[in-house]
Amino acid sequence: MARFEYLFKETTSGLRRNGLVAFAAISTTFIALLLFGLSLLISRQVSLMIEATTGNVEVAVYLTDPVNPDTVRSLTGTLSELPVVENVDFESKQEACDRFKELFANQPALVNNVNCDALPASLRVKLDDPEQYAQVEAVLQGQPGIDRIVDQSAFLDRLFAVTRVFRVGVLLISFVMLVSAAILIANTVRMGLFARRKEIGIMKLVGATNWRIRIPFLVEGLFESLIGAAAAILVLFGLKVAFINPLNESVQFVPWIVNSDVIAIIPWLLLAAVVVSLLASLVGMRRFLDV
Amino acid sequence: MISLQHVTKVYRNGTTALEDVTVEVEKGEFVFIVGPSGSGKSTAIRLLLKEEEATKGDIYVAGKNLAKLTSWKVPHLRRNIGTVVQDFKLLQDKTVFENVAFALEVIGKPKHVIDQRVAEILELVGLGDKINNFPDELSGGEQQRVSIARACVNRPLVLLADEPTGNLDPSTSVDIMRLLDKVNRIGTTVVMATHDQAIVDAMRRRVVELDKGKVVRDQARGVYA
Repeated sequence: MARFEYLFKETTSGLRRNGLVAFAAISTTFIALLLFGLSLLISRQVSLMIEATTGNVEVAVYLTDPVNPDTVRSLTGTLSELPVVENVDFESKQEACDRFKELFANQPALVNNVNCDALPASLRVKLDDPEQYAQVEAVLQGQPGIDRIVDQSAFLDRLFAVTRVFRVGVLLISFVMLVSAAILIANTVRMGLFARRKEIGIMKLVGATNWRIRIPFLVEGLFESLIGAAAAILVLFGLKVAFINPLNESVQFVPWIVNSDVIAIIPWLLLAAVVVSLLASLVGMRRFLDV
Repeated sequence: MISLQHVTKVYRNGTTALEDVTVEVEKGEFVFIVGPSGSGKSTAIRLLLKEEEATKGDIYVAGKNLAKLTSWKVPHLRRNIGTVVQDFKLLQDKTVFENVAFALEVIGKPKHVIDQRVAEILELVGLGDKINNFPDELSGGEQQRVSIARACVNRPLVLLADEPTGNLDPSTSVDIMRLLDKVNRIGTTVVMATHDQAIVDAMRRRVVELDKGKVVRDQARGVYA
């Protein structure tokens, strides 16, 4: 209990002493983690959209009703023999329906209105080399039981290209911001050490362990970055409610990220906050604490 | 309790501060280290605290070979050694009580132990009525008493005092020496570096004289020169 009180006293007095630098460290951590969280959520949103539009396969071979099991077997066999084909999956009407329901789970109006019979069964083909779509088309040309062959690779490529630029950009900015946050935290720690160099000298003289001396500073840095992280998480939830929830109402044919997607990234933000602040604090106090 | 065997200390800039020094101090002894400035007194004290390492030779404090002491064990060595310096090194924003308690807080002693021991030691050094004063409200002699209290509150085996009377007038110095003598009589080994001739002559304790880093005299019940 005495230890906890000591730690709390040291941490809060540290924050009060260099409030302005601490505030800079907190707000930079906040912006960095906000951008980091945004880039994670954008990735999630993009993968949801890709899942919805393509089911993550390059080629979808839609089959005519009713589906004949022999046709499925022979088409699967033909496709599997092609060297460019990585694998072939059959998706029945029921499976197509289940996937649809799962994808749009947060849009009940859409799920309740869908007629599962309208969703076609399909062969979902994954290619080793998406450029070789022509081969697949050639092999399947004129085979019975096929309604439509859709090449999604070009679309996927474009989508990936666009979103990659966006994601990498946001990630890059968040990285730069995280580095700035680390430098600012290191600076608050260093200022704290300097302001208390006399105390630290006495602590060493009377035999306080190095960790005893370091931990208040580590906790101070951790505290700053975790406040930043908490603010970032709150704002991400706010953004989700403010922008995604209205879209959920108006743009019904796209699956949107839900609260649990935001919750899922919280551990990553906290981890980033902890790692950044610990590294920063250790770097900040490195030179000051030789025995 | 303390043993230096053929200890040589050469600083990185090439200065030889101590050269082939061999001194044994028994438990409970009171030893003056005397000599002019630059004779190596402070270096000897720094070596005993492992703030510096000997270039050659072996140093034992409380049975431990300092050369073999890993850096994470150094704090535990220092808990057995109280240190008093010329300029007191008190924290101005803490009261007398808090300054002394600080030494126990930072080595993780529980609060009831701290309260009891700090009160005891402040009584012993004669500051029982000033526990809530701040250092700048005290005289130099009183401040040095606080720093002696802080050095002794953890009941160290050894008390190292580096010019403890250097900033004090003669009569105050005598009071401080009486206090150090008291600390010595309760069993603490005291090593005091000084060039205060009057004090050494009055105390008639063992004197180790250093000159240019060498022991030139080691005399029981000695005088300054």
